Amino acid sequence: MSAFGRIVAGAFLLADLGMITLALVRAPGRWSEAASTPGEATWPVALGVAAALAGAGVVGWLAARVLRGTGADRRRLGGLCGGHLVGLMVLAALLAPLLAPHSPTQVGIGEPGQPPGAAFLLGTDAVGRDTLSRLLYGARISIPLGGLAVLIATGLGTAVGLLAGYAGGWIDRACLGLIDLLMALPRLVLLLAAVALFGGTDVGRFTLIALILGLTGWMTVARVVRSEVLSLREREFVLAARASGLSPSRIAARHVLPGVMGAVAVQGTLMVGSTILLEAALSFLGLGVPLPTATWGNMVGDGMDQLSLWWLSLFPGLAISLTVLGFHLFGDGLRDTRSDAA
Amino acid sequence: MTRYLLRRLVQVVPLVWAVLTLIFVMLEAAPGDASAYLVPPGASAEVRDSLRERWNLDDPAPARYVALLSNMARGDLGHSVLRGRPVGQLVREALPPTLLLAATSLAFTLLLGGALGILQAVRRGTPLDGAATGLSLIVYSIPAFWLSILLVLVFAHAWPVLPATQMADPMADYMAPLPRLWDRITHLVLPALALGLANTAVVARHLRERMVRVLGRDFIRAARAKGLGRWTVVLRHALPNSLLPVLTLLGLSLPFLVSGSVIVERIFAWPGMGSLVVESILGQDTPVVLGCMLVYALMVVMGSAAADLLCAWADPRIRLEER
Repeated sequence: MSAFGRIVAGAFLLADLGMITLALVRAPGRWSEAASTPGEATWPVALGVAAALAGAGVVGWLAARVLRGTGADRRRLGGLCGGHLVGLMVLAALLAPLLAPHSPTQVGIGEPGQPPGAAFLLGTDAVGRDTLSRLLYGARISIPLGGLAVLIATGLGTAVGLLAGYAGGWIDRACLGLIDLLMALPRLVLLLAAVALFGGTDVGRFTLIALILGLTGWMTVARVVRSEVLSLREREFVLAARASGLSPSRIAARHVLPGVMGAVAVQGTLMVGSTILLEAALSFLGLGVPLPTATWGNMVGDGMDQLSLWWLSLFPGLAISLTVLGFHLFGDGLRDTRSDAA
Repeated sequence: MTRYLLRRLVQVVPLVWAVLTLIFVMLEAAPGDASAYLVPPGASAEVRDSLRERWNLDDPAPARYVALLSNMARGDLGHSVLRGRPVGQLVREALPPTLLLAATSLAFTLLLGGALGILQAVRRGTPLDGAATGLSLIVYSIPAFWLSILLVLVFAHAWPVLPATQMADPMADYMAPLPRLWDRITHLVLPALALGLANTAVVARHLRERMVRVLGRDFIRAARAKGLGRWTVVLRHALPNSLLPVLTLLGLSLPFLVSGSVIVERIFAWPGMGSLVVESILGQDTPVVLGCMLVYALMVVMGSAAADLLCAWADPRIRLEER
């Protein structure tokens, strides 16, 4: 590995280590605080500690690899940075109850509209809430929501793509027609309509948004899977499976499906980024997970109303961009490793 | 060509019908209707009933569906429930600003993204290429709404050189032609930039990828060998052969442009389709939402048809009839 790569990897590992240490140091205090406050659960703290310990294990393993000089070479540096950015954000989300210096929703913790400084690292908003705490808790909305939506989208897309590609004929044409139809709709407008209209129903906003994002996002996956299936189904091993008398559904599920999972993983990772962007846009418009829950999108929206408090929109926007960048880099890295192997 | 356009035209009808039906069903399935936004909270039952009567809100859904669609087929988009004005008129007012914004940002995307992609392909493997690739990825990861706010913070607050809201100065009507044009242009800069920057990164990336492959082909070496200048070869021989994926991409990115404009228009108080459709969705103003969706669907279809035609023009080997 190049010296530059080692420096980058080392910097990321130090950041991980700092976060984990801080979380573990603060854990006992937070535990007794949560245990003595009625109505507050202790399990988020326990989960945070477990995540910190698991994270420490991963960091140790990575550090050993970096020190031995194996691991990423310069060409894989992008994937390494991306994976680490994503890892840091996930860690921040899991450790939020331990790391956050204050409550994310409590008003009047500091003077309203304080710029970033020693007392409040990232400043306070117009009603005196701590921006850093809100930012950390915001990670617990954006990342799981993006992940869940992509899980739904890839599941549905793989199913449709497999069906269209393997069945062929009129089924294929019908699926392609549906894909074209859904792709002709501006997705954000559809999302706006769905959330505005069904936001008041009993389903939680979080689930609703993940579901809608998933249901409107599966088309690219379906296209990728379909084209992969079209080439796989002509290969000898499929012919052999057919000759040995297996049913078409069994061949599709057991012999063709494993061959497309790599492409699905790449596409899915790349999609998490764009899905997080869409969720943030919805939140920004006031149609995301409702207030007072802090999401990165509605924090940027808050900042738009008070442009003189520039830190309110700057930091959450930076968090969104870094997370999305992480997923894009990681997805590109995955694709490169796959094309190397092929 | 004529056959191609005719076939495209025939395909439009079921697509538009399916889009409109989907949106109508969604609007109907949602709880409540426009009367909740139309009638003041303290109004008497009679006022409410007369308003519901006036807008046929109590008719069964299938009847309203048939009425709306058959009127649409005859070119009558109906009346806005909330604004009491014909939908056609609302759309006619909102469409030009949106098209102006979209066209400006598209031109910006093509020029900047194209220049960057060409430069990267020609200088492949240099630090410039690497830096531009990294920068493209970063720009692509930035949310449009945040970029808009950053642009406003920098160019309208910290260093106030450009206006941050509306399409024109309130006094624009009293200006001389030249200052008025200048006023229009300055109002366009920030929203067009916010809308187009992410797409610029995509164009640069795809153009670079394709052009690197084209530059390695034999006919490029032949062109160089017969003594043509370096840039003549790049611009006259390599570029037309590299444009295809970019053109297809731009045709496909039209829905994205529309989606993006919803947010950008809201931030910059741009009086276009995005603002209209958001307000109408929030107020469950079914005729306006359907009218806007009709326009969107038509724009998307025309976009992909235009991309096909441009591809055929750029590469005569492509036969339109087969696409």
